[in-house]
Amino acid sequence: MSDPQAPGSYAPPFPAPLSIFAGAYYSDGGESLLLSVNNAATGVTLKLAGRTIAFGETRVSPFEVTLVPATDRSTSTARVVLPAGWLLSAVVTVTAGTPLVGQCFARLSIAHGVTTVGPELWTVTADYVTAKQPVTWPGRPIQSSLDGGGALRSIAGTTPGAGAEVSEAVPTGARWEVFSFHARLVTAVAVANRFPRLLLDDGGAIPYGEYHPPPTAQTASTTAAYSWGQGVPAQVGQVNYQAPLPVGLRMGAAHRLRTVTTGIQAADQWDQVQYLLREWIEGA
Amino acid sequence: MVKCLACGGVYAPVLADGTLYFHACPALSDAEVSAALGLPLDPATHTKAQRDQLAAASRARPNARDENILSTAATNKGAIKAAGAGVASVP
Repeated sequence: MSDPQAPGSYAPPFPAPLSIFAGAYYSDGGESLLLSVNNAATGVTLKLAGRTIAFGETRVSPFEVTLVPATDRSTSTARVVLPAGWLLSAVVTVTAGTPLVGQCFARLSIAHGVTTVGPELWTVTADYVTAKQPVTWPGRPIQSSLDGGGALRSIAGTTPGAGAEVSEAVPTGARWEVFSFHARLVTAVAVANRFPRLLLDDGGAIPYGEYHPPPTAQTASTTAAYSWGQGVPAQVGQVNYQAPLPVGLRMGAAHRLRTVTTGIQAADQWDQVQYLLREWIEGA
Repeated sequence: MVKCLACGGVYAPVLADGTLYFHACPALSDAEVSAALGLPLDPATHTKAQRDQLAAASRARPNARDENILSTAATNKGAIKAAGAGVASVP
C-alpha cells in the first residue's frame, strides 16, 4: 500500500475527471456520511447504501445502514464513517412503507467526526424519498423540502366538546395548503342565532383571515354542514353553508384553522371535522 | 379514540392513513366565556357593557393541551408543547 502522507505516491484507480465531475468525494478519514430524515409516514424503513474506495486500494467497498425514522417529523439520523479515500456513490431507498412525496425528506451530508457527529461540511443531496424515487448521489440535484406537489391528505379532526369551537393546528415540521375544510354544527334547543365563520391565524389571538358564509343564521335545534374551499362561492343551501378560502395560501407550523361562532350555546355541538390539504415537510 | 381532559375534544391519535394526529385545544368559545362570566348565553340580549366584557375576556383555556412537538430537532424527540390536563381513552 502507498503511504497516504506521501503526495503522488498513489494514483486513484479512476480517471481524474471522475473525481471532479462524477462525484468522487475525498475524505481524510475523519468524516462521516450523515443521513438526516424528517418523516411523517408510518412504517417506513430506509436503507442508506453506497460505495467507497480507500486510499491505496483498488477494490471498491460497499456499505449499508438501515434507519427507521420517527413518524412525528422530528429529525432521525444514521451515519456511515468514511474511510481515508473516496466516497463514490450513495443512495437512500425505501425498504418498507409507502411514503408519499411530501412525507419523507432525506438529506445526505458530510460531517466532521467519526465517533460523534460534528459540524456538517457539505450537503451531498436532498429530496423526498418514496418507494419509486430513491435519493441518489451523484446524479440528483439538491431539492428543498418545499419543492414538489406535496402529499395529498384528508384529515379527520378533533370533535370538540359541547359548546366549544373547532380548532385544527398545522403540526410542527409541516407546511399546509388547505383545499377544503368541513364541519357540521348541531344546535341545541337554546334560542339564539348562530353565525359561524372560519378564522386562519398564526397561533396568536389575531387572525390573518376570516371567512364566513352569507349572513343567514342557523337557528336552534337544527343541523347544518359548513364547507370552506378554494374556488367555491359563498352560498347558503337548505342544510349547508359554504364560503371560499384563499387559493394557494400556505400555512406554517402552529398556524390554525378554527371556527368562531357568534351566538354559540353551551350545548351546541360541532362534529364531522374533515379537511383536505397538501402537506410538505418543513424544518422547524 | 382519546378524550382531552382540558377541552373535552375527542380524536384519533393515529389517523386512518397511519399518520400521527397532534391535538391542540381550541381557545375558549363565547359560550364557555359567557358561562364563566355569568353572562346571558344569547349575545342578542347582551348590553353594551356585557358585549365589552365578552370581547375583553381572555380566551386562553386553562390546562390546555398541545401535542405538537417542540421542534423537529433530534434533541427534542418526543417532547410535546403542553401536556395540559391529559387525556383519557374513550370507546
